[in-house]
Amino acid sequence: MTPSRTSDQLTAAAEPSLVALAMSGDDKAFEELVRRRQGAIRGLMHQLCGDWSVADDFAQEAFLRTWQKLHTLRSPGAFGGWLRRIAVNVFLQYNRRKSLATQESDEVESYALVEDGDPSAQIDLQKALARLKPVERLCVVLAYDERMSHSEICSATDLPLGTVKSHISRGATRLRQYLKDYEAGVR
Amino acid sequence: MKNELDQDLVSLFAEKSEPPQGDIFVARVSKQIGRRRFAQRAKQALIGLAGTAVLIMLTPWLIGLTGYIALGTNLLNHNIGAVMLSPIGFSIGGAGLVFLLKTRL
Repeated sequence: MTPSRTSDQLTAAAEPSLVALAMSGDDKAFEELVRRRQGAIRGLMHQLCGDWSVADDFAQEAFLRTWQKLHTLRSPGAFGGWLRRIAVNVFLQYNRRKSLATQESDEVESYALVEDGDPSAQIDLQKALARLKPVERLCVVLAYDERMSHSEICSATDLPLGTVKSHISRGATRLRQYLKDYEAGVR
Repeated sequence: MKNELDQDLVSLFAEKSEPPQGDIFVARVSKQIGRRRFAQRAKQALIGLAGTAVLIMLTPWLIGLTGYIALGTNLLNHNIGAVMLSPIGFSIGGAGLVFLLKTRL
């Protein structure tokens, strides 16, 4: 039985300590980890799927998988990267299942299109991202939003280095073109 | 090594909107974890109960088995000479001798 800790103690604790506590079965410590990491994971999922409710479902699945597999984590210090990798896998698995079900590569699948009429740059970015293929979008978001290196993206997505580089390069070029089109008013 | 990135795109991504209401999301995940923890504990308790029930059912049989093993061991340890000199011992030994001779011929 793990001794109960106050929420103040958990809030003040360093992340590796929280991970170690959660690994020993302390669910309150894991809740604190969710509280700290939810913004980043939900933000990543939102960039990948374009809708907050879908992003929350994906993020919840990622956190539940993390909780289930927590005993397999080798180093508590590697928790952040490991969690992000699980989140990426949730997105990839969803897309794999979806493409198996439809057997076609619809470019806007798995991405909820935002409503027209909002002139902000973020809406344009989301629309442009929606037009990329899911794997291309994933590589672009990990590189530009998460600021991950090519090798980090390779290990997170299990894609070869050359494929990652070409996805980022092609995706960024297409993204710029789409954004230019939106700026010029071609919608 | 960091990638060479288009800085316009980097700044555009940096302007992303914040996720809504983190507390609701945390509560949602905690509830799911609570459910799974309960299911996990219920499963462990069921396995423990099933194990105990099987052990209770097998107890008489196990007691009998250990009794027989103890009897056999006792017989071999203390009365091996008696067994060998008994008619049963002679017949086993005789049969063994016949078998040995037959196979050698």
